[in-house]
Amino acid sequence: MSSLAIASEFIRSSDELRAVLEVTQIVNKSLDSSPQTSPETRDRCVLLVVSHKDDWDLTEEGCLFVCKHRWMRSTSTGVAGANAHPPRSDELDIQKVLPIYGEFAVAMSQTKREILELRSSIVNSAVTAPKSVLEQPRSVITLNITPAEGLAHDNGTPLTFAAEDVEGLKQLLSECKSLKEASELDGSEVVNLAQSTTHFNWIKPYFSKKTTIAALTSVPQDLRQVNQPLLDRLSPSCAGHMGDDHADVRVMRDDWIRVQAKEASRRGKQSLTIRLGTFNVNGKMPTQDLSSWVQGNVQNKVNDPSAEPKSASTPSLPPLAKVSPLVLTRNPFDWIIRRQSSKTKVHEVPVKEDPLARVDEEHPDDPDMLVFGFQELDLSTEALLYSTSNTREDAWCHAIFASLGEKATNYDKLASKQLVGMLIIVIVKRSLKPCFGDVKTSMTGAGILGVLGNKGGTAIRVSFTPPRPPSTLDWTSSNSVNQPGPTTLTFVNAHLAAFDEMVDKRNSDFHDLSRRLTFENSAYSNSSLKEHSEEKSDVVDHVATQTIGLNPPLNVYEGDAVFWMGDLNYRVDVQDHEMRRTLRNEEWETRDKFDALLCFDQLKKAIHSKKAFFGFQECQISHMPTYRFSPGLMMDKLGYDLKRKPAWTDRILYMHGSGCQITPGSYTGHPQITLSDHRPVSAYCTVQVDLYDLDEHRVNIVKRFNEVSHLDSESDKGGLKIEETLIDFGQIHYGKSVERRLVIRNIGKSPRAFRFVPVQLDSPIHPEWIQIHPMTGILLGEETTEILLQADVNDSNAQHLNSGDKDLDGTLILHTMLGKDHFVSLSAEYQRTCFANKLSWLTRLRGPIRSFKHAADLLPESHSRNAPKEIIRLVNWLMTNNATSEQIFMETGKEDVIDIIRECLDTGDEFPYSPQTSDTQTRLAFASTLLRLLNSLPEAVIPSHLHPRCLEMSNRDEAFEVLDELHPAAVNVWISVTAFLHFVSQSLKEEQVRRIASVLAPILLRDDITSAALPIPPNEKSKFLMYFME
Amino acid sequence: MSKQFQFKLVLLGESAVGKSSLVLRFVKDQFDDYRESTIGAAFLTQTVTLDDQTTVKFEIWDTAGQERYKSLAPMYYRNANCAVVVYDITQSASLEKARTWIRELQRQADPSIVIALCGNKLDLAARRQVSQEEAKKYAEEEGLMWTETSAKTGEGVTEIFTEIAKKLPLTAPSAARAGARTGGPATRTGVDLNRQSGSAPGQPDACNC
Ligand SMILES: Nc1nc2c(ncn2[C@@H]2O[C@H](COP(=O)(O)OP(=O)(O)OP(=O)(O)O)[C@@H](O)[C@H]2O)c(=O)[nH]1
Ligand SMILES: [Mg+2]
Repeated sequence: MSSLAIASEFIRSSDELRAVLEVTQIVNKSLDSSPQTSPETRDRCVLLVVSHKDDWDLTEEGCLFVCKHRWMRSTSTGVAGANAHPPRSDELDIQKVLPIYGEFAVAMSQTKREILELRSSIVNSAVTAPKSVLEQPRSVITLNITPAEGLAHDNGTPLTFAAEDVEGLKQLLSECKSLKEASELDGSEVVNLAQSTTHFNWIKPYFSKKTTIAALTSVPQDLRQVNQPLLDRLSPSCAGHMGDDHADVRVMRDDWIRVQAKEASRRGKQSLTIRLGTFNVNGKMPTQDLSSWVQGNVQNKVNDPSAEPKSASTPSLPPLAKVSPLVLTRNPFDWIIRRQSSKTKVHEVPVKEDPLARVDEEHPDDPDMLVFGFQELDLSTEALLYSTSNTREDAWCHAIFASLGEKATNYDKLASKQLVGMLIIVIVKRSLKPCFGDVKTSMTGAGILGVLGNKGGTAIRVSFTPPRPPSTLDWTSSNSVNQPGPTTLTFVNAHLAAFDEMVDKRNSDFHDLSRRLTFENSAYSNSSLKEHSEEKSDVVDHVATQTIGLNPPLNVYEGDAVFWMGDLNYRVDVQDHEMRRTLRNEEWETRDKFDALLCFDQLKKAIHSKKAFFGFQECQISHMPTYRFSPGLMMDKLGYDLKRKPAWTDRILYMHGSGCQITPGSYTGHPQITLSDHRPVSAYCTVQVDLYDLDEHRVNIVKRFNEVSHLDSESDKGGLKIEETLIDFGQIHYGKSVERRLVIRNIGKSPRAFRFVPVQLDSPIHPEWIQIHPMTGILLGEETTEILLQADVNDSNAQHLNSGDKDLDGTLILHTMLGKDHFVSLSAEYQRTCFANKLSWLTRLRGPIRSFKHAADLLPESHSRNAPKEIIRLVNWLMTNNATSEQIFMETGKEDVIDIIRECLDTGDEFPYSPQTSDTQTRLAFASTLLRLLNSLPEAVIPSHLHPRCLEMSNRDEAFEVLDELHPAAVNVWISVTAFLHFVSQSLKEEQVRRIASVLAPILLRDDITSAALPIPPNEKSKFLMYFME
Repeated sequence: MSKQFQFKLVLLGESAVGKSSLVLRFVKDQFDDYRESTIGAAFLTQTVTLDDQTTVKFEIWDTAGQERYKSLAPMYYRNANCAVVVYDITQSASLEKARTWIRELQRQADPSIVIALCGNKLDLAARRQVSQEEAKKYAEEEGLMWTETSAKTGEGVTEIFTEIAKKLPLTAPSAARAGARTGGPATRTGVDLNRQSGSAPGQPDACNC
């Protein structure tokens, strides 16, 4: 590429390139160094005259940019080719910017041969050249450039260059001249480029490249942002109302660069294992063996929660019920999970993949890191006032190493931090110790007056750099990692405000700690800025320093993962007696029981309502509450203090970015360690650390940055084009998603960013029956992408869709950032379904749902049917059918058969299966359809507010009384379904009947996840149902 | 010191009357014989110089004329300071459509909106279906600006935008070289946008010189 072409690329579209000139900088100005004697390549420069016209007041400003070509990265540093110059890349680096105003001047002289003559011909005053000089085409001309602020500031030496291109020089001179004349600045004014907001503002974007790259390379992104969908981080925008597109584009761009650069640099992943523990020791000394907490069960603990030793003092919990719909491999109840997941976060199920290489192959089963957090280490008043002694820290540290047994010699303490009673200790494998670096600690009080350290937190931030892989012999291969990049892990140990009713204080303590636990950011000043100064671009450094500021402190989220543990003190919002009764209930499967209770856990609620700990994840809790145990008489049967409601106060949470997956292994309490009023909690997890080359990552950041650097320019060349703007999904049915792809092509050469926007600020971006992935994107020049559009009718939208027109339509608006809005028309023909409707609505249908047109077709309430025809049809078929009932409701029928049955219910067509069949598969399919239909009801047949009444009924007659409270349609459904169950039960053994009840009861008496009351135990639901079955 | 004003302008009218062509002529002085129908809304800017001292910057939203997108038009004409409603002089139905748009604007848009009725494709006057008298009379009754243009030859195009610029209330100067301005061009546009959505139409900027 020619310098002109490169320069044109380099200049932003809002600016104009007025002249380009290739020159050689004359650094040493001693007379004997003539510019002709083969100038050093590194002194070659390109001078650009760039101007910018202000959009607003139409004034024009110009600058002379002194640039250098960037050289291709030498691939063979220090080896061969020391003489050969590395190839020139198509990029320019700004060395200096000289604004054209004030005393700015370009003076020139001819340097060829006649040195004496040259001197006499220097024109000092202006940017005009004596004709005689310019008319000698082959001569070398020396340029002396005086900056606008005059020579006094620059040690009296103008910048000196030698040029040969006379035509280019002429143009440069004349453009400089006219720009200087156009300048509105008075010559005595001196503009500080880095600070001025009124003049030469437009040159900042040229530097922001440096500052952006520096930030992208060395400041980790805040995890809270990383985990937030990009769309949520953009400004509000809708049709005809652009948001702050300029700012949004930068957010999208930076995100894109980070992700792409990381992906491009990643050479693999390794797994680092961490054992974490938290323990409120209540001021006690370590007088007990801690090995179960410190070590757990060493054998095969990875991904195996059951590997933790079951403690003797744990109340014996019933084994996982054999028939739990949730553990069937072909799960007929996946919608149950879906329903629940809308309230509680789905637990991360570890995906079975090929095991990653361990960072430590020698002892892969031992955790690489041990991190322990203690609270109430020292309760003495002296400790609170002068926390000087660390005898207790030493004692606990000693106890930890003692508990490691023979393994102790493999570990070393890396760091610790104590604030009064709060102590965090990081211990690492000795063999890996060199991999850990950049250790930072932080602490802050959150107690009385926010300073006294009785509550608060201590934190440690470490970076882990994987050991250089042994395959470095083959260091030329593209897979080699010469200098592995670090993964930063932060560990917080906190003790938050106590007492049930102090939940708001705990939440605010959390936010306080999030803000105030910060670490000094040395990495930034050491590495990236140093690198800049090597480039000797003083203006750039100046601006960069001004813009970012040195050493912005890092918060606990600015890393690759953060673990937050401690006595967080959150309680459970259920009545004391209910809590204890539920914990004692041995017939309630532990996991379900804990899940039910945890719906009322203040921490879970705070996360869900985004009040605190939003974005943190926690392993499934399958251990008993860890607080509060009292050794005295005032305790309940489980050992909990009668004066304190049991709670899961001690927790271990984590948050990670996309590149640093955390797979939880175990999470458990240790009831056998009884020295405190709390029980310690431990977690074991695997962190996937990226194996990437640090240099390569930097190069990739720059490369990606350059690809999208023009994203924020308002260029109207090309743009995005959508291949097909009418998208028809055809018929869409309940439970079957239909996918279409929207092809977007960037027909221009410059990159483009896009996002979907709603019609109005407060309206949804897409109709309820559709999903879009992704909602934002960046397309490079001539790139094409596909957006997945998924039409999906499910329990959450079917009821609403049923009441509307069957012809669905909608318009998506795809907004090109800083450009055009594209419309995409959607259409679909909705096939109504009897699923997911209220019973009281189904009974008002005149015929099958497919023949329903609009609300006027409904029967008046007074004339509604006794029960929905669809349910009665299923029950009748099942009643008439004689096939064996052994597996009924226990196994799912075939999906295709279920589909056909459901379609017949919706259309009113005859079932293509005769009830006379003895095929058990068909029978199973009918039973499954019935179950699913019942489960899809927006409200359970027996709504949750009646469940407590069911609990009170102790015989069949009493049970019937509950039915008085139901809607007539619900009564009839209940009666007919239970009549069938009764009929089936007669041919089955008692054990089988129980199992059927345990499957149907949770559906017929489904919990309302929005209910404020604790659900009744499942065994009670079954008991109630059994009154009708026997 | 010169003053600049900024206004939001929206183009409305039946499909194929030449809205996009008019904008293309105005902004880039080009014409395409084969233009794709607009599906969406194109956003462009162009500055008109009224005299040495005054310039008007138009933020133009060129909307889609196809019937199916009619419901989206209000999103683009809300907050608009001016509207150009275009018809095709060779299609009398397109004037009917223009009347509908004008009625809608009169009812729904900002009451101070300046509306111009524009008969396009003047170069095809031989196939004229809409007489000048008819259109002019209607415009006078409704108090609209009216002119005929040809995006193809360029006739009347700049004029209509200049005339609109003159009609707009140029009461307050814009933030020309505001002392408090921060950041580069990006931030500056951010400021524009805030003002565009925040301030009442016809009152471009408060002077903060
Ligand atoms: N002869 C002639 N043809 C024109 C003129 N203006 C537009 N056209 C043609 O008319 C057709 C439609 O023009 P567009 O500018 O795309 O129309 P539009 O109003 O933007 O249409 P939609 O985007 O569908 O709303 C194109 O083929 C143009 O070339 C004109 O002044 N004279
Ligand atoms: Mg158009």
